[in-house]
Amino acid sequence: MSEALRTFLTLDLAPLLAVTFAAGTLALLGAFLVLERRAMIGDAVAHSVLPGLVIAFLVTGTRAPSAMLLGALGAAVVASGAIGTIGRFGRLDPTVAIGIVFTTLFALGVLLVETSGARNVDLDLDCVLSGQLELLFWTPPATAVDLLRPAVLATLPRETLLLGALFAAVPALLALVWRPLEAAVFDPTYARTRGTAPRLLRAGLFILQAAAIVASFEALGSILVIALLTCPAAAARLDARTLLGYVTRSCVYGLFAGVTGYLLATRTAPAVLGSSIDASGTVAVCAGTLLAVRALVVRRS
Amino acid sequence: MGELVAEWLRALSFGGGFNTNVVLCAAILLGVAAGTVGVFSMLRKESLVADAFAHASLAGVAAAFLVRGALTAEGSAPRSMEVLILGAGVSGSLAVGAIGWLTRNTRLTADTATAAVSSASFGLGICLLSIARRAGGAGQAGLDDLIFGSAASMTRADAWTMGILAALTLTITLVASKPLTAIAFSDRYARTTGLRVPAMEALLAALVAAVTLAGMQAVGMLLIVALLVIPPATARLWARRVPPLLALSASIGGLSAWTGTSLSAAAPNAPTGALIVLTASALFVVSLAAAPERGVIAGLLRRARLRRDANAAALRARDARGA
Amino acid sequence: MILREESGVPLAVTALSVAYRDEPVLWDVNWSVRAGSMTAVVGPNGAGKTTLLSASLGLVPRLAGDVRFWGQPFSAVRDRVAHVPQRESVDWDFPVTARDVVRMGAMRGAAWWLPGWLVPTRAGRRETERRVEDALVRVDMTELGARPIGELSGGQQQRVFLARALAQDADLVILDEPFAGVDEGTEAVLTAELRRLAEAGRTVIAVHHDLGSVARHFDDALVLDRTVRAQGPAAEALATWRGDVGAAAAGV
Repeated sequence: MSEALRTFLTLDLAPLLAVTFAAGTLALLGAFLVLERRAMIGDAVAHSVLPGLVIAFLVTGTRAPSAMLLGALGAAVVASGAIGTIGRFGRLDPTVAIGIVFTTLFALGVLLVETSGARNVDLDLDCVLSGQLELLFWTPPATAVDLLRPAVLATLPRETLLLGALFAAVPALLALVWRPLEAAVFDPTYARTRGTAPRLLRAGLFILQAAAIVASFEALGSILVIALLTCPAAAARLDARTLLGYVTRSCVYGLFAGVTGYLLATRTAPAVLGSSIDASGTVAVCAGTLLAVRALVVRRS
Repeated sequence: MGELVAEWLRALSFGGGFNTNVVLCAAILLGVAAGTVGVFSMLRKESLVADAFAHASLAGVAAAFLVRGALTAEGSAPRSMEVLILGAGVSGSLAVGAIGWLTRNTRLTADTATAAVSSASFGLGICLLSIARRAGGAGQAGLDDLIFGSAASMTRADAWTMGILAALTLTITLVASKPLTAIAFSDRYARTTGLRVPAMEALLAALVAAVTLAGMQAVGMLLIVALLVIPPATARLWARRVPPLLALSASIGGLSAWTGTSLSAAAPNAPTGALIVLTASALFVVSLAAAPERGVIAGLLRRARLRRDANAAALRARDARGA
Repeated sequence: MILREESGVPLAVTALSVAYRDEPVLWDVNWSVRAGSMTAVVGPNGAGKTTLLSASLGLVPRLAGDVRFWGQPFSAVRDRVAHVPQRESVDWDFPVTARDVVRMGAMRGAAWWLPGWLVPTRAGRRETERRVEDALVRVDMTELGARPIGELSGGQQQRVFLARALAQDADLVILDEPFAGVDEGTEAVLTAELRRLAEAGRTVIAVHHDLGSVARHFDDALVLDRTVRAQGPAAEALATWRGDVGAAAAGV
């Protein structure tokens, strides 16, 4: 195995896979958020991940993945419940409700990170901004052939494996309930009269979306997650004709932004600027550029 | 704990030294100004435009820092708030313009466009910030303060900038409150009264931008939108007409800034922005529970009463038919 | 008393009250629909016409009262009842084709959540596709089936909605303002198809806003204004209501 390949496998493979899997999953699930005009809910959920993580850490005293995941998911559910309650009783515009909830939860997260012991266990505010891709590395096998062995690949970092599993599971789950899901998202009222449990389906979809946001937090940070939830989907939405075409295209755009962004930040930038730049930020910029280019090409007819 | 409370009360009652008091006064002015301007953006359902503006401003701040660093002597550029604010204003305005363009010219809805543009431009900001950090230098630490807000790091000059900008915004908003109310109520109606609606819309956007920029250093760009959203929403739960809404929202904004900033003076570890926002949130939560018409408790009680009446009516009707 | 007794009445509403937030919208509504009839629901704006249909179908919570379809709760007879909501209720910019929408009508059965290729019964996909094509033919939309719904005119969109109900092959079709904002051609197609359903023994209920054409299009009518003002054969119900209103006006 050549030295360059070995370096790539050690330093780049795990973060590249992580960011690509995350981008693909987020783009796939974000397509539904954009379609249901709930992009800002995704925004609120992404901001609420931080207090969820810190509270889970303070309660359990560990950074065990299951505790972190549950804490963040709990916060996501609290966020969406609070948005609903404010809209229903306070009769305030949904954007106002969302603005209140995500700033409050985010402020809580920031306060807890800064004043509690959480700061010492690498839950600092930098990782909120851009994730912790640089912590992902891998000790590759001695020979290239070993790369194909599952047992070897299973030694990839936990985050990468989790995101990979999610990226494989989400399309399978969506395919299983595709028709009723289409009805539930297009016309929930009608779907309810047919008894195809649209609210259950959409709740399930929301849990998946929240799980993807939480799982991607470490790779991308809490704000850049939103770029991958919305930009690829928005780019695909511009001229989509069928649901399947739209969702597929959004996912492909997400994968493209993930790979391109990572390589630009870690390969091109050092050559041009002399040092690498923030990889997750570059992935978000790639997704945004994709949307900008497509929007200029496809105007409203 | 008791020491902390004593320290807080001292700061709250303006006993914390001249610098602290200047920052405190400026913060209160900011809260009042944001509470006032925020009423109009809430009524126009544009509350989250300020959020996009603020997220996008990171790119401008980092770019301004880099440009300034390149123009002045190697790595020795002192942090200059005015230059950074200028950069923030430019990139924030570009983002708001892009959101408007996407909503008008494509089939994307405003919320999608807002989320996409603000997060992607924040990504650009993060990229530029990573370059600025590598470039290093004395002022680089100040950039982080702009993201999460830190009143402790504010110099007296910074506080004056914030206070003057906030006071100016507040004055203009109050002077223009009548036409702003008209466009918040209905564009079409405002046009029939001969008002120049596009000019007023531009004015409101500029006021929102001014408050956002003024508050960036104390509250931070990720949380400043809270000052424009939470006080007006809290006031809306109690007030039905615009004048009391403005008065109440301004008071809540000022009170939150006062409490939050003095708390952070007592506990320098705690981020100012988060404390201000959480004070405002606490007031909102209490209001949402207790408000007479839009409160949760009142709503649940009314619902229960109505259900009882309906069942009684149904029973009476059944008896009448049976008889 | 046998609660789940089958009856011939397609829809019977007893003492129904509904409130949105704290505002009562319907108060003590009692109504029954004749099998095989075309029944119009009419009334002034804000009379609660849409709410009555939504509450009957369990879409909005009821404060009090009871709704039975053929003597049974709605959940027991879902597949026999087709709902055509107001056209404005969905996002017509949604990326689906007309045929996709109609296909939603053909999904049914307890195992709805299983994908078609996993369901061994019901003659599978071919039967579904036949019903979808048949429904498209009946509303004269076969050629536009592959179009995204956003590219259709208002009338064509309404036809797609009706086709979705037809593909369901239901015994009771409930429509909300089917004739609102549609062209004459569509109105003719809708009227003919609804009449055909009634002649085949199905029951049709529609919210209708044009008082002038109620007696022409429908057999029966319910006049609603928060509570029942009149019901029965269309002409009589309207006359009763006009008489009441006239008497009230004379009383003032």
